[in-house]
Amino acid sequence: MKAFVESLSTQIENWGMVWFGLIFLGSIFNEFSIFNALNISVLNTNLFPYLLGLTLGLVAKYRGRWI
Amino acid sequence: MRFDNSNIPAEFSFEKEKEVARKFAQRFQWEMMLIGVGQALVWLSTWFLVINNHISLFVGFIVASICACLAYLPSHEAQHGNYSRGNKKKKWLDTLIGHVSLMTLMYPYPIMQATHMKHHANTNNPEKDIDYGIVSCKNPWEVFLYTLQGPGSAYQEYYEVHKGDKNFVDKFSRGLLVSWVQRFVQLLLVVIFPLETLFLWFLPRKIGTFYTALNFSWYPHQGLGVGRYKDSKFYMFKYIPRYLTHSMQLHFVHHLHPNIGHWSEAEAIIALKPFLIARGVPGAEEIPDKINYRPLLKKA
Repeated sequence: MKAFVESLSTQIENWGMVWFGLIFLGSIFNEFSIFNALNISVLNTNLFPYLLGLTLGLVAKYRGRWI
Repeated sequence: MRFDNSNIPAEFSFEKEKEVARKFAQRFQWEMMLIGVGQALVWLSTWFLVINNHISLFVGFIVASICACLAYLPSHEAQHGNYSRGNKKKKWLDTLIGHVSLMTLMYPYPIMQATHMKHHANTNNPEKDIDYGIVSCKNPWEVFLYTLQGPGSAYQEYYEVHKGDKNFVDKFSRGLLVSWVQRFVQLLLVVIFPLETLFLWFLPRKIGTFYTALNFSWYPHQGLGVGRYKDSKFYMFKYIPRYLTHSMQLHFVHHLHPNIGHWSEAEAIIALKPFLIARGVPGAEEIPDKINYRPLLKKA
């Protein structure tokens, strides 16, 4: 259990920004239709807003900060 | 020792100061509990009202932002055990208000408690004060940028400094679990209610965090050194009444005697004024002879 919690902690610490970008920013961007310019649709979901969120999250992770 | 007793007349000794302060550290703070639970309930109701189109998202955003600005102080009293006042049977009150009140700001109560105690013990110490990142900001804009970034990396850095303290580590670990749950809930909500999560939680908590950092952590300590009577100041603004800053003009007395309830600080300062002047607390000479419900505006 302890090992699981530790590995979860490391995962969140290292990839928290990426998950935040993908899920949080992706969902927000998806809500604004202006970001639907590039339509890559899978299962009725436009992937572009989520890819944009993921990209911002990856950039933040490698920069170490959002702004 | 964080203060020098030499040159202090016996009538202003630390023991006598404590005796005076103790009188103001006994009251049951029902108002603060009401604000803590009240703002959390209003904030939760806002979700219901916005989702069911009873109020607009904009109105919800304004209400949620006000709730976020009111969220920290009730939890702060809980962090100091100011609801239970040492009564083990009432300890649950501290825990309940501490957790519930911080929901709006999405802060984990155990981490806030652990880090806040370290802030009190090491105020303005660049290596050990967890709030030093805010205190060292030069202006409100820098505080804004600092709070926008989130405390993640600073907390990691100060965790390394204090990891020898078992109590700190235990609380920090418990707080991490709470933080994960909060983050998971937010990520779940954003998928179902994207704009509501942005405008009722994410942005209000950024506003609330900035407001709290500016008034609690930055201005009362900014530009000061270390030492019990030197690290916080009394001040007055020309146009901002104390009701808009959570009375943080009086924050310095909280640093001297954290068990004085927030609502009793004004009275306590008046009673302690001679002690504060004798100790050279920054701004003590400017303390008026009466505070009561006055807004504490600086006269031109």
